[in-house]
Amino acid sequence: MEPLISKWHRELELFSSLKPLLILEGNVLDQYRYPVAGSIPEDELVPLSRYLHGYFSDHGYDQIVFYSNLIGFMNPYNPDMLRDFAALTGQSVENGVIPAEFKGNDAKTAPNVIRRSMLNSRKATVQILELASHYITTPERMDQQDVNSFNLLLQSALSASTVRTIYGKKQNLLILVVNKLNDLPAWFYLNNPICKTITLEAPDRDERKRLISGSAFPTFFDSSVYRTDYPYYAEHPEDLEKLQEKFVGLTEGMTFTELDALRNLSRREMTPIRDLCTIVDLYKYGIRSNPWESLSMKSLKHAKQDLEKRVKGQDVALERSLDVVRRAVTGMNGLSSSSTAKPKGVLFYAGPTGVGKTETAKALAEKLFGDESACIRFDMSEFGESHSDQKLMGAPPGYVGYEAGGQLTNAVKKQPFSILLFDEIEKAHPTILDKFLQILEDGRMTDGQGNTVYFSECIIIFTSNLGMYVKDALGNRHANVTMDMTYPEVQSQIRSAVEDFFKLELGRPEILNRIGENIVVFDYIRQEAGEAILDAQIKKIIRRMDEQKQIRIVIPDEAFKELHDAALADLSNGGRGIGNQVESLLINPLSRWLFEMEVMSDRTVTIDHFLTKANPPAVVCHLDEKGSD
Amino acid sequence: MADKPYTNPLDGLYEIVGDLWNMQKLEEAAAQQQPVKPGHAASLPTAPKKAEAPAPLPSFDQIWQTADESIDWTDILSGRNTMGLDPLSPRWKFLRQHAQNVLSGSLTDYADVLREVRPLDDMKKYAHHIRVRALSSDEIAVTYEAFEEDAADNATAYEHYLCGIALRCARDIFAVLPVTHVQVTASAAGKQQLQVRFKRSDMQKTLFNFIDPVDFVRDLGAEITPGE
Repeated sequence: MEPLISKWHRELELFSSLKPLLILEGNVLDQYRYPVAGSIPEDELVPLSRYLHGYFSDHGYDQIVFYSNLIGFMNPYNPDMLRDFAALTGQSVENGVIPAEFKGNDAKTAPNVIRRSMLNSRKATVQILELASHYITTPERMDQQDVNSFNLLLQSALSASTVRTIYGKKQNLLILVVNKLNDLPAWFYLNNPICKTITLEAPDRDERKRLISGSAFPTFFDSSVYRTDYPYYAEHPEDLEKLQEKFVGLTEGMTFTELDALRNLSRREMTPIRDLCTIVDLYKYGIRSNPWESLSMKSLKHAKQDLEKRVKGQDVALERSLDVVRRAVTGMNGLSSSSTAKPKGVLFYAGPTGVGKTETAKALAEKLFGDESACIRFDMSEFGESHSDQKLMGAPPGYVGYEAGGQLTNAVKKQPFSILLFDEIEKAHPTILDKFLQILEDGRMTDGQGNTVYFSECIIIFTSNLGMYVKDALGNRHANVTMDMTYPEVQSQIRSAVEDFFKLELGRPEILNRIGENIVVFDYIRQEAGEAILDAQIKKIIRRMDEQKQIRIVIPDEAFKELHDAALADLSNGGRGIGNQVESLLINPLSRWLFEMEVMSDRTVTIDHFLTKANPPAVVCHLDEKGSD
Repeated sequence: MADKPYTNPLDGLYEIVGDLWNMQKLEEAAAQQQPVKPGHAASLPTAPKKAEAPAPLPSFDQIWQTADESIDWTDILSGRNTMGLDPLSPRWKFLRQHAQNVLSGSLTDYADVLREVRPLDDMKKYAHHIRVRALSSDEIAVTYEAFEEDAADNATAYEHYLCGIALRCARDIFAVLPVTHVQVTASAAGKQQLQVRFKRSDMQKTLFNFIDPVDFVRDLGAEITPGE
């Protein structure tokens, strides 16, 4: 197998011979894969310090020492080097370290020791300052002694000597390892020609592929599992390739340390090779059986009929929603992108109010996860302020509410397999929409406490009333769609308004791109759907009264027609409007009548008329003789 | 071309390991003997016999709580030296050389590993005639001759002894070979005392510090029949 060398390793190779001062920043607490066999075996995962020690040993440096402001100078990998370093700089080793403060003017302080070693021309020396982010509180609050210490480091680098070795000339090197570049004073690195900053990234796709393929592949399995399972994959390399590709997709964004943890987990759990990817779920969510995998094709075949029982008159919207679910279940959701860590699906529900957008989301949650509570709803009108993202993702350390975490991240941590419903998304502050960009693209988010939350098992649904109204030049609102329009006209008008909102009003076309073709426009509740909704609601009331109070309600056809005509007279408020009418015309008058007649249970009530024009509306009923029913 | 006549390498393994045990006893005995004069035949030691008065059980408390260091064959195959062996040591070279075949289930290589690692040697003071036989590349059978029940203070202690040793033997075999099952059979005075089949996945997550070996073995459906 050809060596796979990371970008940062190449930069280290290049600039360690050109510049005496290197700053390594970024993912520095991770482990790294050593790319070429040397003092460390090829492809072995090692901490950064061991990596650097191995690299510079292999490249002929005589002395490699690490410094930490809490411990001093040390070399846990080769104590002889530390002894040589002590002799060179006139220090003494105590209990395996050379103690040295970072601050101060004493000759024994670390910057002074470093300066002496950088000036030496006998031993090629590399000094690695670990966790250098924490030597000072903040760059803005440095006292004069802090400034002096960094100044001395800078001078050391400026006056670094070149040493002749059997490998050729080597420049003494000073390396600072920091979490973020701006943990250091800007004057130390900005416009500094002797300094090179090298950024360490999380492993990319190739790195992850490398770890799960080739000679490293067996290390993911218990020996007995590998022995029994591997012969099949040796004969079917195409299946192995598919499995490895899936694993690579699922582990996007993970660090080497996390990948190594996956490896250990897989071995401990004696995971069969075919179930390799379940270990990612176990690591991310603490469960092995993924609800998505257990969804049966049979239950999904009848999903539309099941959803139609709850959501009436939205044939196209339900079909489009189920398309996304089918894609997720068949594993085709990630096919058009390089990442399989993205959410299972994204839907943008638009359309008139009360037509079943939220109800569809809840019905989907029940269908997919067996429980309506798997639909987690966020009312985005509560997130209209610029700082609202902290409510959603968690406040950073030191801020009020840090301990509580974020509402969204907490919810997803608790229920990773869920439908996330963001109601009225247009009311959220644009900074929150930026956060959604990351969720939609990478399927993960780091909360204020630094925990990574994964959204790759969620379906994300946004709802919006965008496009229902438009503003004219004077700022007055006008209806953009009306009930007179056909569904294709409504769909076209609303889609175009949603696109205009993101592209022109918000200036964020990239958010629209992440949603893609998944804008689902709900139709108005038309006459036929309205009748179905009314019918379902009346039946539900009759059934509940019978079950709970043993009061049997009879509505003859003539009376029902009175209710029907009044309740369906105006369908512009959708199903919710019909519900309001039923409450106003049936529930309130009937309960008033039952109260006045002191009918508490076990009777049959026939409603003869609905007085819909009365104020308040009333009902004319009679009680059947007890025992006659 | 006619197929080669089938030879069961498992039998070979049985013999090899069995002989090795006896061989070592011979060597130990020979070392203790005076040099033999030319012309006099050296008297060979005989297999352990039942003593007139039963020797007490050696202390075996908590023997099941530990096991030999496991050999991670998949690591070795990929060159990861997680056992901390010197890469130039004969042991590391031996393991590297056999990893591929062991992970292919080669019984010959299993035998080589057992000969090299000798995982059950430390059990000799607790039982006699420890023999290892492969039933397949998935399953190893261990048999041993246990002390007789009279050696124990009471029946409970004897059961504890039988099960503890069985558990330890199984753990030691799982540690060195990538098998899924280990069957352990203990006999005493020609009678079977215990037979149990251990499954690797059952052992993987067990906290051996907190188990009672008799309960554990019984839960696996073992036959424990001392005194019958």
